[in-house]
Amino acid sequence: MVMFRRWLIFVGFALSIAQVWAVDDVRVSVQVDEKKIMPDSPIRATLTIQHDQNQEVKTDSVVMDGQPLQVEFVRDVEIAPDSPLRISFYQFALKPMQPGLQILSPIAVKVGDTIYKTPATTFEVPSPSRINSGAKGPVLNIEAYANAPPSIFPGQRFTVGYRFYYNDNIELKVQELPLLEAKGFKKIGSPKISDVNQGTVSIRGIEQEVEAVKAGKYPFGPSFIEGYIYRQDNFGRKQIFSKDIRAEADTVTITVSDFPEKGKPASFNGSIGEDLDFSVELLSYKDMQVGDTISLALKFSGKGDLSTIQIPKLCCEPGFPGFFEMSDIPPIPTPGNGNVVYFVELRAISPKVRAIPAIEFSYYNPVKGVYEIRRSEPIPITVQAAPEKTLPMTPGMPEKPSEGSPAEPAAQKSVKADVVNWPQTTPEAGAIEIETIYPLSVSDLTNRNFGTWSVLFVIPLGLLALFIQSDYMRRRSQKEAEVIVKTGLDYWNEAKEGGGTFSEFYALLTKALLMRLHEVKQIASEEISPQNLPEEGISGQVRAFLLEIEKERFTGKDRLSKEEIVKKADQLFKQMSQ
Amino acid sequence: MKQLESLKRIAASPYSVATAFFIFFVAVYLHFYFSAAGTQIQNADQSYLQGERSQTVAERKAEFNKALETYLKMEESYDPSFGNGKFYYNIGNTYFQLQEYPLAILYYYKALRLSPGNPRASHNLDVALAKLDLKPAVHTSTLRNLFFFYYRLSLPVRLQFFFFLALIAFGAFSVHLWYPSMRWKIAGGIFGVLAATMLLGFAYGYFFENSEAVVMKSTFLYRGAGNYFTKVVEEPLRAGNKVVVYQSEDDGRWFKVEDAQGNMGYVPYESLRLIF
Repeated sequence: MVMFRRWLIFVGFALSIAQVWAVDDVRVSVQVDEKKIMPDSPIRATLTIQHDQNQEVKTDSVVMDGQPLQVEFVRDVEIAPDSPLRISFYQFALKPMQPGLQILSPIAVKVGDTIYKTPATTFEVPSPSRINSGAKGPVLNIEAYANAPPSIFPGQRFTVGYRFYYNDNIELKVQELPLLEAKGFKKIGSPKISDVNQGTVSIRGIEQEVEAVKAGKYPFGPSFIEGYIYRQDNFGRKQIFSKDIRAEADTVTITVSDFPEKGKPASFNGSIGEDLDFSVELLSYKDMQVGDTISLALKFSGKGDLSTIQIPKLCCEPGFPGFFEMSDIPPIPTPGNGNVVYFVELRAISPKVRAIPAIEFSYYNPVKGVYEIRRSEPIPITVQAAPEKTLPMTPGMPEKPSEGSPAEPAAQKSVKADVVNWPQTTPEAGAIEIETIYPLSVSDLTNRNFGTWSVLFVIPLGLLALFIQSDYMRRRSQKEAEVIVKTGLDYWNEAKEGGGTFSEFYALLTKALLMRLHEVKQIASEEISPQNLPEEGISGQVRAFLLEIEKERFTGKDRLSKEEIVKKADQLFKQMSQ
Repeated sequence: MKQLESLKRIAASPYSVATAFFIFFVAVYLHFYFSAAGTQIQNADQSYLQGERSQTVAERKAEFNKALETYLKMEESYDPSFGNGKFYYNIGNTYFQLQEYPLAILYYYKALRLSPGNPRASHNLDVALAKLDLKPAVHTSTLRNLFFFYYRLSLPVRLQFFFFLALIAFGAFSVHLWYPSMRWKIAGGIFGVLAATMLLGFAYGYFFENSEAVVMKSTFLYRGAGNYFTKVVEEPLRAGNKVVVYQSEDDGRWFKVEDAQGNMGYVPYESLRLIF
């Protein structure tokens, strides 16, 4: 008994020693890569854990200042070939910090079943001027980053990108930037480019918003850029100033986790958030008939990325199948300020519906790591049945035996059923409630003649027509007003040619002679009677001539023939022309 | 003879030949265009009437859907928005038979715009509104009450009246130019004034009167252009209601409207369809 006790003590001591050794073998340390710290950029650090290969490092247990810290496994290194110890390296990023001395809080990590902590450490964030002054010669640096939450799930959005640091004119020849391609992720929008100057260093940022699609590990990199420095001559041409320079960025691995299966509600369909609210409002009437459209507004609000919100599948929620028919058209989200609303249409297909059932909406809370469920309140509605119709027998079904018919054999009786109450597969159509259509013709498809806005053209056209007419009238009047001034000779020719009476001939002759006298300025006006002509000169001759003819006319003697008159008159005209 | 010679010369000229060909091709095109229309009309009407005669819901639905498809294709091709309204009435009927009451109401309003006194369209509109438990919306203004006779006529008919009044006015003034007479001048003046009055009416309607729309999807009336604003009234604006549209905001995504009760607010554009 004593021996047994001693043996027990020895074994217990040995085991505890082994445990102590095992505990002592675990070393956890953290180091900030001060050389790569750039202002306004995340700070990269490495967590180094020395442990036994049988002790699992629980990366999801890494915590700093009470907050989970996402770490990325880099590699494992064996201390010695026959040693169970190994060193595991993990990298993580801290938010950008102000220039100066900074403290890195202790980081806790669970190795096996024990939690280990690193001591607090300090590091310095250099000021921009130090970077500038420290940079001798051309600076070209590239930094790849992913602004992702600690845990990424399918449907979540975040940004990835690069920052280029340079201090001279650099022409890039080669760029390998796999983060911007973001294979395996869905790109949202175009990359955003920003340029900032800090002293002599310029920083160009290219950022792309992406959405996680599928769980998995996605390494991007290494990324690099390569180029040369150039100067511009007086003509604006680029002159190569240096040999090629290259900058590289480490591989960035983005891990998209799958939603945990534990506790996943049946209604979950991918929504992610921290504290979401959900409500349902009825937009249509509460009293309706079977077949009437019901409009609902499903409103989601709260903390979280509302772009991940997926509308609950109403078709499969309890209380909906068999009572409601959904629209085939999927509802489109209407984003608002801090909320998103889905407008849904459905129809009640049964008069037994008493309410729109409570709708369950579930989402995953990545901060708490649990699924949360929200339920809307049921909305009472009243659905009346459509007017009843007498359902005739379905063709082909055996009829009920009439009274007085011979009783049928028992075997056949069991086959018959009361078909009157069975719902018809092709329900009868009801009476038409409205007046019928118009029989259309081609003219009903055309606009009314002169019944469109084009008739307004009648105004300018009408005015134009009036203008043209009035202009024409004016010109015509002007033309008419231009009196064709006939000369005396014209009248004389007209008199000679004219076949009128002697009186008409005499009148034209008189007018011709008087006009001619006026033309040759023998008289002031042709509006003068022959008796009032001067008696001297050619006027006197004309006077005598005309008076003689007149005398002959009135006395009736007609001693002078027309030919003689014409001859005499020609002589006078000739005299006047000389 | 001379005239015959000159006619022959005109007919033989290349311009005349080209004009003749052009007229021929236009005539042929119009012939085929309207014969295609005739066939479509026949098919659509037959489908609708067949739907009325159908005994089962499934058959009726199938026929009305067929008729609707043809009517909508014709609407895309012809769109007689200055016609007599019968075409839109038929579409309204088809939507009614398919229980799409808001769309039926929209097309009945279109038909009544083009044919204000149409008794069939009025009756069917009342039935459709009753289906949605709505009362007919009446939006009035002082001008409408004063010139009620003017609004008894549809816009195309008023345009026709205007055209003929203007034509007569110009005609009378033209005659006065040729045969000056106070009678013609007065006649031209009277018809000209009437045409000018109608023109002012068109200008008022075009620039100052607001459009009307029918609500297609029930929505709330918001105080601002966004669903994060409070609601003007708790009751939503039901589908089938007619509203007056004042303006659009947010790049046309929201409309400021007034309902029949005089409540003014904003609704999203996708919940409305303009009547014309």
